[in-house]
Amino acid sequence: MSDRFSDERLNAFIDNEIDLSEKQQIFEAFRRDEALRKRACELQKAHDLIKLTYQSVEPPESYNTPLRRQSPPWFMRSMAAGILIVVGSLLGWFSHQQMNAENKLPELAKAMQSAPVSNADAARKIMLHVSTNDEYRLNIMLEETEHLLKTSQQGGNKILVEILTNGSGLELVKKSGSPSALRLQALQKQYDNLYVTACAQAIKRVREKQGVDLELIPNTTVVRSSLSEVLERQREGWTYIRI
Amino acid sequence: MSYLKLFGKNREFVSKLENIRPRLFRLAYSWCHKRDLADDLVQETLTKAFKSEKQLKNIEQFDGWAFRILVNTWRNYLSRTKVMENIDDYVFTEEHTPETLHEQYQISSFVHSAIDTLSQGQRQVLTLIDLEGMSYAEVSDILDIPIGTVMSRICRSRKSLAGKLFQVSDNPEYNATLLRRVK
Repeated sequence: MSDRFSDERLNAFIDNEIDLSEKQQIFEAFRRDEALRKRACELQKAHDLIKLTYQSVEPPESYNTPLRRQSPPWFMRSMAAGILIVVGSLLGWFSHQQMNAENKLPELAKAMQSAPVSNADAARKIMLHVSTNDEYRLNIMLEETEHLLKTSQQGGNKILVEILTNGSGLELVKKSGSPSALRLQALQKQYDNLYVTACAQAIKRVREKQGVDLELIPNTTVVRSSLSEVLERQREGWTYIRI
Repeated sequence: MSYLKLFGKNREFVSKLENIRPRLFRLAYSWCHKRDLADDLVQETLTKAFKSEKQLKNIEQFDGWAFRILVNTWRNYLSRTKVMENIDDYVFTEEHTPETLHEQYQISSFVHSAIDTLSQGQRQVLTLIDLEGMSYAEVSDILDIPIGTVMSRICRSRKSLAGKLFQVSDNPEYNATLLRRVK
């Protein structure tokens, strides 16, 4: 009677590798067959003993210290250097334009008026340019933004944050119910100094590619082009961070 | 600014590596039964994992991926050092001297010596399934063997283990009355 089920089947039963109907058959057989019960019990005990024996092995104490972080790979470092060069060139280009403007003095005065004023009452203005849909990066960005808004509110500091989305970053403002989009919506409801914008050009490209209109989360402002928005904000003295 | 984190190594990957460290150690220890060697194997595995992070396509499959690196590291170690079993040592461990009998009643060393009698392939299948709770399909993938081999190895090793572990209860010395009342 007990030979009806091979050792392979009994082991598969112990390791939960068989389907429900076969499990029921084995349970039914257990009820009548003591030898089968004994065989299964011994195999189960062998399984438990392995777990018990090795789980109590303590790893060396050095395992409690965190792993040493490696420096970023060369391409990440060169990417960061590249971004710095681009931002530097843009700044240089615009200051050059301002210096060469026909009405040099009035233009310069206007630029200085709109430049950030370093007194305590002035609001800090930060633009976060999101062009990725990498969940990990989005999460860090949302975490940091929430922290920033919260600490500013608690400390009574004025702050304005704009999240500008384009390219793959549109996923963040798509009304898809993704965790990041929901989290952003919750943040928007909580803080009225958080603006969310999306690039019209990128939305147009999605429409052309996929043939559907992108439905955006509420309170998302569509701007003409992300590039002009970035340049405009930088001229107004916003801090620009690309995610 | 903490946005700079984005340029660093994937934090999730590093924290997963940190979490799996003790598990890798226990697994390596269950194969070699030497703490120093198990530690060396884990260090080598972590170094390889760091270097080949890009090969991990899906972070969900991290555990299997890390175990596979450990299996390869262990395999390389065995082929590099050509571990030989000393026949004299082997005979000694099987002898029923009072010392070895006393040790065997301590359950962990008893399991260790029972595991020592299994082949490397059986040991790996058994510990991956029983200690790490991997499925047959995952073990087949990690060790790169057919699923039928996984099933037959687990079957043979558990049967041999059960035979060794539970024969102790049939051992007359084990069942002997330890305290006898004398009137």
